[in-house]
Amino acid sequence: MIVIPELLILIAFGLFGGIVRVLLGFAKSYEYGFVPQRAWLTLIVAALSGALAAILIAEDPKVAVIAGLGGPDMVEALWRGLARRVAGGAYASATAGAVPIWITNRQMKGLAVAKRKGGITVKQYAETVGVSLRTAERDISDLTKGGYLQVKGKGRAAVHVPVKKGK
Amino acid sequence: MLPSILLAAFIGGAIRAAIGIRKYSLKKGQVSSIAIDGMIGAVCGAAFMSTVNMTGNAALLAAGLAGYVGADVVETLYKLRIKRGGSLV
Repeated sequence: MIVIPELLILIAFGLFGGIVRVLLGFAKSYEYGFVPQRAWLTLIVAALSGALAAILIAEDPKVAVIAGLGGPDMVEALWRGLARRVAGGAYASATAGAVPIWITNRQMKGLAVAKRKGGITVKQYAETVGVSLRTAERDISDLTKGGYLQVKGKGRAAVHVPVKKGK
Repeated sequence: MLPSILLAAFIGGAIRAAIGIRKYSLKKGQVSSIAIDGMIGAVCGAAFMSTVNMTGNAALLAAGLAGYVGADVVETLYKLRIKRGGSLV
């Protein structure tokens, strides 16, 4: 039977795993101009998942640390997947502003430029990330379908604008 | 026990790769990335399990978790290294 002090210790170790995860997130996203948002939420999920995993698997602080590291990633992936399938249109607002996890680094770079400039065309995207127009179209299409960008205008001159939070 | 732990950790790493693949659809080349992440996960899982004293289902779950996290962390560090212009070896 686990007691409160032990539980607090496991939560603390889970939190430690979450801090490492947040720091890795900052390091990964820094170059692309993103600031990882909702870091506090990551830390809460890390603390809870760390403690929960340690209780369920083994009351070992090491388990709490690795569960704290991996827990937020799993929860985020499941949540985004569910939001995409169940919430439909709510997906875009649910994910706007957060560092996306399943788009490529190339798309992340293009998205960062779109956010900085307020929008991006297919040609600008291709030049920015160094790909062909065809690939740029495909990347932007994925970002649009994923709810990260919305199209304004038609044809080659169409500007792809980042979806703002709350819309 | 070691083969079971390696398998559990491999599965953990492979799950990490599968989650990372956008839209959850397999395309050419992505099977190999799942296998690579699985192998990274297996190594990380085995390394983690050598530091703890667990048996049974708990050991398998812990190995899977360690494989998942190991693949995630190694992938992140690898991407950071690439961005800074470093070589892969």
